[in-house]
Amino acid sequence: MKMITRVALVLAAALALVLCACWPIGSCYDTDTVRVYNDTSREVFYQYYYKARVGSGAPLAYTPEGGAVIPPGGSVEFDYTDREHNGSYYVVEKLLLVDAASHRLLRRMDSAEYYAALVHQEPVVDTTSDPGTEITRRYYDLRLTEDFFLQTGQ
Amino acid sequence: MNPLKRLTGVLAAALCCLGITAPLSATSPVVPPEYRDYSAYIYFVNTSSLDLFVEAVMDEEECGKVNGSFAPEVFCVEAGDAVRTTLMVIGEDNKASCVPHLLIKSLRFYDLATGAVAGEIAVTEGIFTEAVEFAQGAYDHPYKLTITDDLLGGAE
Repeated sequence: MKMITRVALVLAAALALVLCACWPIGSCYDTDTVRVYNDTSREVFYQYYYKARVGSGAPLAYTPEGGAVIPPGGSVEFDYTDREHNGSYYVVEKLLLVDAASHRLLRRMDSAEYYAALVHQEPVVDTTSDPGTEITRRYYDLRLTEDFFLQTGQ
Repeated sequence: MNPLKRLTGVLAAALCCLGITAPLSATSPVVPPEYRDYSAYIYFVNTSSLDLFVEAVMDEEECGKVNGSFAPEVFCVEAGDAVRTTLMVIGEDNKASCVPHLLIKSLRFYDLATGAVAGEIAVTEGIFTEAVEFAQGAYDHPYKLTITDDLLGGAE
């Protein structure tokens, strides 16, 4: 086999490996995930809102996300969301935590409060979920307790 | 006819026209007709003084018949906020089809501060009063509901 053919084959194999590792599109990126643990005896409804900004334009409308009940002892995960994706910039504007039984607001975190609670944490880092890749998954934890609800946002 | 009588007659005619058209324009939705056949997401704007927890009471229908009730869909919309939701108004074509679909029967509003019911309204196309035009002139959310203190007060 000619040298040039051999090089071409090696390059093609390397490209195929990269494409396979990155499929589906986006999985090549590091991820930042928020894990919310409900350490109370209440059923807690959570909802977060993000705003998307396209380029330097004005933020687009709020979109409520989540919108589910976390049972006592349960947990949910969602994207930390402070990043650019396909030309849009996404940021969490607020997180609302509501007592699912009484429909009363337990805690409201605005964007600054939300990120302040997470950004100083040393995240749990997982580099083993995607073997053969350089992908790092970082997890930030938010633990819901009665004390947490009393702190602000009453 | 003297000018005063003529003016009075014109004014009376104008008032009469207003009397007929005003209620119509107040209740007629301005959802573009071309969108009424299609299902579309609802855009909520809360101009009331209350932060709200909203519960959408829904039925599942199939072939024009109710299959049963469905778990309510819930979300929050604070005072002054405008939110795009994943709640849908089902278009006429989809309603008529035999594909199971969810029809929103009513919206129940709770005051987030107290948990008390702030109001409840039945959902008809007439409650959606304004089309929302998004980027590139597309009506992504032709069904817009403005929640006012009057709407909540009138619903109580």
